[in-house]
Amino acid sequence: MGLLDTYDPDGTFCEMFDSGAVRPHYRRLADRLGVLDVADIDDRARLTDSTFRNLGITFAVYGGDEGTERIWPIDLVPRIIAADEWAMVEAGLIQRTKALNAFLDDLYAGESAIVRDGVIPGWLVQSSDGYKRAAFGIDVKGAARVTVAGIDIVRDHLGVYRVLEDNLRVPSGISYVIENRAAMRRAFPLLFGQYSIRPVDHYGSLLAEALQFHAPAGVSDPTVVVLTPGPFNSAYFEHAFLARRMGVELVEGRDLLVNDHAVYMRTTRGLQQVHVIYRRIDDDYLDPVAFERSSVLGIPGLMAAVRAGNVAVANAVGNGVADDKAVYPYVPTMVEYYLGEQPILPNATTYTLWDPDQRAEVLERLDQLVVKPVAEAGGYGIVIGRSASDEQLEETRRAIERNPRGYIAQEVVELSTHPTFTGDGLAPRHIDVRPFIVTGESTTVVPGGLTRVALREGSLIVNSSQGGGSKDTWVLDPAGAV
Amino acid sequence: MLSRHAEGLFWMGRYLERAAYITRMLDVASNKQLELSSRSPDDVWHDLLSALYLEQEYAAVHGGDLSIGAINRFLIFDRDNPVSVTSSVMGARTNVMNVRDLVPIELLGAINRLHNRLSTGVLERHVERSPHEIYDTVAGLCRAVTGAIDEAMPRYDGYRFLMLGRLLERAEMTCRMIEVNRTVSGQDVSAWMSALRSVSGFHGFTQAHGPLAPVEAVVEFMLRDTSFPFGVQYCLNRAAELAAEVSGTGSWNSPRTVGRLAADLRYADVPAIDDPELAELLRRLEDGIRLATEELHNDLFQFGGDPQLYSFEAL
Repeated sequence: MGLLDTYDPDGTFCEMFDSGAVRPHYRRLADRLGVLDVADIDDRARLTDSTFRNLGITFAVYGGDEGTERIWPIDLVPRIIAADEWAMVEAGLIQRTKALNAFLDDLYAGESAIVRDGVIPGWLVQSSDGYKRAAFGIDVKGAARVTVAGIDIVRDHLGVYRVLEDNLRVPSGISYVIENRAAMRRAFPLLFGQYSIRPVDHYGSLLAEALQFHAPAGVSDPTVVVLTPGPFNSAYFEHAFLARRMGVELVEGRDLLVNDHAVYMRTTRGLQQVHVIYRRIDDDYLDPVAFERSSVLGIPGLMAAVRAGNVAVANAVGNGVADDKAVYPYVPTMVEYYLGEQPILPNATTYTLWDPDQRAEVLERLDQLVVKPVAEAGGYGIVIGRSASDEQLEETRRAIERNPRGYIAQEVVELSTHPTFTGDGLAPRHIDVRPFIVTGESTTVVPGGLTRVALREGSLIVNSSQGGGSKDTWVLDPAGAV
Repeated sequence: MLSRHAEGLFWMGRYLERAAYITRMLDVASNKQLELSSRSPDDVWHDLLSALYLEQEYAAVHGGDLSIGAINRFLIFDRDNPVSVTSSVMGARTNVMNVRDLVPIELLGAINRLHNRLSTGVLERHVERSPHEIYDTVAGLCRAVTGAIDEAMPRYDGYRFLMLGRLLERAEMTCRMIEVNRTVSGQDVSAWMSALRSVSGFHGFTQAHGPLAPVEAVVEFMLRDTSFPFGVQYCLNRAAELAAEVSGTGSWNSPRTVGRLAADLRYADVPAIDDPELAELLRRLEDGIRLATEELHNDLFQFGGDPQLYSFEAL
């Protein structure tokens, strides 16, 4: 009996089946799954797990035991996106990233025209935790402020792609995209012969090229480094992965020093000047002179060196204002305002809680909505109304009334589902996807991205820190078969 | 390369070598203890513990219990014993995590396999009945690590720092092994032969000196033979070359110290076994290795180094 024979997609949009029939781009995968049984998948899953463990493809989880390292969870049933669908998503992502870059440039290096023109309230921008006065007046001179974006996309019950949130500070996950692909190639080599899949392996050179583009003027052979908080950070695996892929040093704050507005790293052959820092440390810990004074991760004087134009920091400081969830409802408007285009990718339906009318309506039906704190990432602090207890709802209500600027509410998006291996067969599980968008001289989207899957039945939370898994994401080549 | 990375690789090398060396010593000691030669089994373990300077620490945990199970638990699996094989492997792994962008995937995989094997608890079940299962497994996984270093690491400064760590650790461990055999084995040739076996030196020695060579020849061989990879002279010569290579144009102290140590040994008279001068020589060597480590630290890892190289005027 094939694995899909008893598969029952539940009510919401299913990526693989369309009212009982397999969608065309999934047919070859369905054929393959038809000849496999539970033991076949189980064997491959065990093999993949042990490879990941030996290669140290792990992530750290905060709040658990000290140094809790989990193996990166991958589900071996790939998610497939047809070429024409992807072309639309890709165009939408490029458009959105360009608008967000324009917005940030306008705020920090321009005249805040969007505020002046009354499109977005000035107080909303200035009250954002992500708005950094230390970045004010810093001009990135034609380069991007959002060098790497990770934009989370879901599909609703009709299959419409919607943006759920933007990650414009230090989005992570790209290393897992590449490792998932490598793992799939080991687990299902035959399938790769049947599909023409767009590669993701070139990310290292893509990022290196974009970073070099950010180098100060007149530096022909810039020294690029990756700045990490260190091995205890949850994404340390990725930091090391990217440094190795680009062939650059992985530095910590203590390896760098600033002298006369220039940044140097301490090497065994003396001090060496650094021109571009791909930082994976939050703004607040980057420079104890400009931000959090107690930070030992940062480099004193870094912001002064950035301002002097001797070093570029990517992503730029202060991007948090643009991925603040209270600013998110304005992003489609930004697309119209800066680009004069209609937004290709819609947002999820969102309510602004500092608006008294919307707030009153939301508090009425809190048990039907999703409430998110504006500044958190990684799925922390999200309350899903219909599965929350009365106490939780009451607590959320009080939190919103105390600080309406601090939260947004959204209609529940019934995320699309995908067949996922559960240990004793395939079952529908909710998924989203985080594509990565890199901007140097031009803006490029890595085909696919990190598909995350909620491994618990019915759960809508896909974040790996909350027990989510991942899937390899195949974008089909338009020139190839199916 | 980054000074911090150089330090990480150096210590990774030392920890790896320590783990492998302790495993070898245990393997030989457990064989010797089974042979029941002129010495009692307990003495064998006493010798080993004193070579590792661990007699007091051991007594604090296991008291007078010198059973093979207790010894194996303490020297291989005990995480509270900083010199156990597991602690050493954890030390190596922590350091490799700090430099994981620099080392080849093969090396990372090999160290993780070694670490995972030691920490699952499966091997620990063999401590009493079949410890050789443990020694063979650990030694094999250690060889996989050194094989990955040999095959997959480019010969850049990172490799040199790693090897520097391994060679200095190895030289120090060989000195300790001579010291413990000097005091407890004396003229017992078979004891010296098993010491040689633990560092794969038996074959090379008998080829060069024949089966009837006196104990003094063994000491001479372990200290000064330049064809013997575990020999103190061999390790120090190689270390001196590496220290000179990594220091580039800077004027550092560490290459001088290692070089001086190698030269000191080359021209020293090797005293007789019962001569206190031998103990003096060994102590000098161990102190010298400790000093060289400290100076490496000052030269590089503390970012001090050659003041000329690190001044802003030099930029």
